[in-house]
Amino acid sequence: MAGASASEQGRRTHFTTCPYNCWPINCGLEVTVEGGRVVGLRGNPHHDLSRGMLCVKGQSALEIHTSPERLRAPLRREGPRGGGRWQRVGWDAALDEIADRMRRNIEAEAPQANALYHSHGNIVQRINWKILTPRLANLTGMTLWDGNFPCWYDVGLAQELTGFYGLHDPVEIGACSAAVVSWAQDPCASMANMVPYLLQVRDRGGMLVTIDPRVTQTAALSDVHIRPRLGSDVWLANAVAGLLIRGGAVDEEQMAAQTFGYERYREHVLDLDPVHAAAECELRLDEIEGLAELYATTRPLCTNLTRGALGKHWNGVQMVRAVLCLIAVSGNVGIAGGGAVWGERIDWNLDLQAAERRPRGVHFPENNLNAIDATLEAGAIDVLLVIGGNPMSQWPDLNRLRRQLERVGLGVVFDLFMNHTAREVADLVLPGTSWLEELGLRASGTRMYAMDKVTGPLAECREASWWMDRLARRLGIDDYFPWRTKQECLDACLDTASCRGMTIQNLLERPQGMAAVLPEVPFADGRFASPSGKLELFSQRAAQLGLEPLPVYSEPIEGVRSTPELARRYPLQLVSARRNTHFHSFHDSHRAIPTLATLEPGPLLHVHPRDALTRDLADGDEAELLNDRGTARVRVELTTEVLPGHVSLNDAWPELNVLTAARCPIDPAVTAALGVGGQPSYQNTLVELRRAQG
Amino acid sequence: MSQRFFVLDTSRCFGCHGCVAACATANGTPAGLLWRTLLKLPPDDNAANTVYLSVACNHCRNAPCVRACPSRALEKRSTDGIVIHRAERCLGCRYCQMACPYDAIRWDAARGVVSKCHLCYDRLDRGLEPACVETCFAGALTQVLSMDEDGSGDSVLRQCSREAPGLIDHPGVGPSIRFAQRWEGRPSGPRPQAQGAAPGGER
Repeated sequence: MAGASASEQGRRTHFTTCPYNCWPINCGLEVTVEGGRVVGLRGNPHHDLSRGMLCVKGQSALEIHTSPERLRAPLRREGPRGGGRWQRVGWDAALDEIADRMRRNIEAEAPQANALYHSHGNIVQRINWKILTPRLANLTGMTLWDGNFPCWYDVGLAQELTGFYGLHDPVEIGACSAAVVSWAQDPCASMANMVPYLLQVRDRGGMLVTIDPRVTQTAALSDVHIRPRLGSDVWLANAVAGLLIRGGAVDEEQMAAQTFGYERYREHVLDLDPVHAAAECELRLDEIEGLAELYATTRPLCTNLTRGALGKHWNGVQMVRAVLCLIAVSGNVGIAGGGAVWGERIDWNLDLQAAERRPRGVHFPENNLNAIDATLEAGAIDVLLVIGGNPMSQWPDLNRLRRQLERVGLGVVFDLFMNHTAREVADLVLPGTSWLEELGLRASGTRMYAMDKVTGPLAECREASWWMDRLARRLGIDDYFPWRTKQECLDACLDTASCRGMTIQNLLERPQGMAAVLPEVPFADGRFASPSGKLELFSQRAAQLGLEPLPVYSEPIEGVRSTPELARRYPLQLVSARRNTHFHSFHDSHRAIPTLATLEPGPLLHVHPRDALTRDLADGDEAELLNDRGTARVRVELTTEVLPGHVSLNDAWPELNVLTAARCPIDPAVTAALGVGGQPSYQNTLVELRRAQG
Repeated sequence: MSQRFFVLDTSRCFGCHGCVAACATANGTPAGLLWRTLLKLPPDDNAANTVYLSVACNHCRNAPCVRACPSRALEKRSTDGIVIHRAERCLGCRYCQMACPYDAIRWDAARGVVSKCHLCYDRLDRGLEPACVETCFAGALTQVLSMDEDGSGDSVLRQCSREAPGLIDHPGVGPSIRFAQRWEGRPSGPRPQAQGAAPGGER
């Protein structure tokens, strides 16, 4: 059998990838099966990016597959929602009920009342996320929402407005970069598999810089740590760019050839007095000058902006725009070891999404928080399928969301475990296969890997395309899954220019993965995805859409400076942060995974000792975090990792999102035009902290 | 007598806990029972000098647990000084837990015996690295077999420190762990500035 090697004792070794979604690397796994049972799991030593290493989540992954908590059969709610009483039903009965309710909306000419939200659990299988789920939504005419929006959509918008995405490969960074600036990124906590490449830079004598108000794990490995005031990044990036231009460090000829709007951008950043910027950032001037010196003299310099942190600010689009423009004027675009680290560059055969068959003349609400919030507020969603997602723990303003989701007619959750959304909102819960129970594909940087099917499904667990096909057929669509086998389907998904020569069969035979056909250095050809074809320092699209065309600072909608009245009652800035032991709210916020649940037993709030002292809180105390939107219970850890006036919380535990606001700066019309934008402003949250009451 | 040492480079460990879970997975310890621990020493105020220490059993030269065990369930392997616990001989008296100055011995309540890190001697004997070492993204955790029991004759260990913030070298116990700090930027001493940084005003 391909992809597996048998030894004398009837043991088989299979190669797959880790079931978490880190970007840009997804680590390889080697899984040992004996008598149909998975008996061992370790890092795949042949995987050319992770080379046999795994982080705490990857090392605990077998606990997902073997957990006694896994859903084993479709369940129908008995009694009121949230009552916790479930009855086993067959797949046929469950799918009949969903199809009947969806058909009613379709016949009433309201197909948009059938909605599908899919998120990270579905992203584990790349083709489910990229192709098979959008295909179901398009063919059956459903509203399609995607976990991209809370994660990185405003970052994506900034990239789209600039025409520049970064997308450099970790191997290239490790080998070439003279410095890496982790800007509001903590790869040590969120992508441990990037650390070998960062340390490779340091070992070669290169510089590691971290820009973050918190002392992150990455800051502790860095040569320089800069701690700007939370959300002041536009000031910092613009001031640094101004210093580069003033100091004559910018190649003006290159700017003329490579960028659009350099003159206007130049004037804009030269207008800014660095002393003023330092005051706004609450930094010393020499810290800003030192950063400017680094950007001026160190090449290639890679700015690590990987994914979503800055986008979670009200001013996030401008923050990311400001940094992208700085990367450009420092001459780090289109060169090996420069640019920005980002996600995957491999394209999938998106024709298979069948977007052309989506019903015409229907307004489907955009994948944008404002659109989603308005649609739910209007009670316009009747059927909600949640696939590998958990909005009740992940979307902002839980109390508002809870009230909105009560009005959904039929709630369906497809997952491996019960979760917050399933318990409170679902009428039907459908059991999913683990990643070891289906054949799939995974991209990592510029390489592709097979995910071997290691064992058959547990009990009545099924993979997404199995039940989606049966649901589509009930709605009169008989070509949702037009392939004879999963292998055929995967081969069709790989039918793209960058996947030339790849089939599932030859990927299964190569545990080291296969390289995609891609330009070695992104944007080296000087062509950018913008109206001018150049990297737009002055964004024409932004101007057309009513957004700021040059990176400008605006005060956050909620903050110590911008809402001083509110800050008198709620004086602490809440920062939400990633920890190694948590991946969003996967696996019931990891309570189903004993190792992770032991290492991170609950929400833990980092508090500066000075803030704890004035509140009579000691290390380890139970406390309440509150604002006008709600109250959440946490345990406090006293640490100087946070600045006074800030508290930092490990995210994605149930009930913490009572504190965040359902606010987003991007109008759905922007998302309709560019396909991105609409992230909640999670980081603009003021709170107060007090000892737990009773 | 030879002795195997853990060597932790505190300038590379970034606290990911991968080693903690690798140990649990490779050794099949009961759910939530973890032989390896990650200690964090928070940074000084206004500094980024957090120290992470990945620690388990230190396989001490004069292991107090071995001396405290009334049933010889704990023994020090002669070939490399690894302290191995034999569950079948364990009375569950927990004297070893009280004797260990490093809190490295766990209580397995379900089986009524203690358990602890055995430096993956079974893997070492097959020519493999311990699971915690194999998974370390930073290359921070390694192990070294020294020909003498306090490591003073070993060229790698000689350059290492016997202590780290948070772990003291109890005299007479002889923990077989050493701390490297191959990168000098941290955790102590002046932090390097960006090249050519100009002096500026105070905050």
